[in-house]
Amino acid sequence: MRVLLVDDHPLFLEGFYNLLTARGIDVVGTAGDGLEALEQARALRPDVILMDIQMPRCSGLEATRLIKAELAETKIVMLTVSADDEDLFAAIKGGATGYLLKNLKADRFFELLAGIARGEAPIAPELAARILSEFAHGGRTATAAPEAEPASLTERQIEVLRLVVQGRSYREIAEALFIAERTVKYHMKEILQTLHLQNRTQAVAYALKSGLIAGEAAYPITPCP
Amino acid sequence: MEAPRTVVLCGSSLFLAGVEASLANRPGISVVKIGGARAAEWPGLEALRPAAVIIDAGEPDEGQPSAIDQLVSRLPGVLIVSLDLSSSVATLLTSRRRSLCSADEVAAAIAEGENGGRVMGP
Repeated sequence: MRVLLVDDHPLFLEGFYNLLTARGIDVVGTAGDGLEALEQARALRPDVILMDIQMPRCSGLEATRLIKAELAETKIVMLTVSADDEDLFAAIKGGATGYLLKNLKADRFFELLAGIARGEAPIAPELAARILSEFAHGGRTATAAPEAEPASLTERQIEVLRLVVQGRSYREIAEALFIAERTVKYHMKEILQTLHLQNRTQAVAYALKSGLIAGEAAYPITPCP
Repeated sequence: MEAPRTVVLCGSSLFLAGVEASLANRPGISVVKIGGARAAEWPGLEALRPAAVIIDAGEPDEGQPSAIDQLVSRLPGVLIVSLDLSSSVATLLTSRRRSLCSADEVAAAIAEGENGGRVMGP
C-alpha cells in the first residue's frame, strides 16, 4: 500500500511519517496543505491518502473533492481533530473513504489501516453513530444523490448490502453467503456503480436513508473501540 | 562518552507514538515508553532517571494541573513535555515554558535539559 500523508503540523507529520515507515508502510510522500496534496497525488498516485482537514491555502475537504475528481481510485481517509458534523458529512460527500480522529490509539490505527487495504471504511465510532442517525432520519446533509432506485439492485446485491450495513467485512460476507471474497467485492463494485456512489460509507448511508435496509445496522461501519 | 538521555513517554495515542518514532533513532536519546497508568503514578519512574517525560494531554486526567504537579514533585529538575493534539505541538511545562513545533525542537530541548543541561542524577 502506497500512502501519502497530508498535515500542516510538522511535529505530527514527521512523527506520523516515522511511525508508518518504521512499521514497513510505504509512505511515498508528504504534503503540508491541500494544494500540495493535489500536486503530490497527481505525481505519486498513492493508493491511500491520510488527510488532515484544517490546513492553510486549501483545506483537506476541498483537496479531497479535487483529488477524487481526478483520481477516483485513490482512497482518502480524513485524519483530524475535528468531530464536527459539517466536516464529517462534507468529507463523505466529497468522496472520503473514511473519517478518523487523531485521538485514536496507535495500535487501533494500524488495524484500521490494514482494513483499508481490504476495502473496509474506517469511521470513528462516535461519528458512525451520527451518520446512522443523520441518514436514518432523512438527514439534512445527503451524500452524493443516487440516481438509481433501490429496485435496480438484484436480490444478491441487496443481500450483500445488508451485510455491509451490519458491519461485516468482505471475508465475513463471503462466508455468510458461501461465495468467494472476490465475488463479494465484485457485487459491491456493481452496487456502487448502479447507485452512483463512491464507497461503502456512502452505500451504508444510502441503504439506510432509502429504507432499502431498515433498522438492521447495530454497528454498520468498521468498528473502532 | 556521555550516556544517552532517557526520555520517558507515557500514553498510547497516535501522536505520542509518532513522537516516539521521531526520537527513537536520534543519537544521545534513549526512549522508554510506559502505559497503563498516568505518568505521575507509574511506580518505577525515578529508577529510569529520565531527562524528560513526555505526556499526552489527551489521555484521561494526564494533562490536569494536579497530575502535572505530582509529576514535577516526583521528578524535580526533569523536563516535562505535554503533547497537545488540538494544536499538534509539544509544550514545555517546566521553567522556560514554550511550544515545540518539530521533533528537532523537542530533541534540542531534551539535550539542553531542564537546568542548563543537567540530567537527574541518582
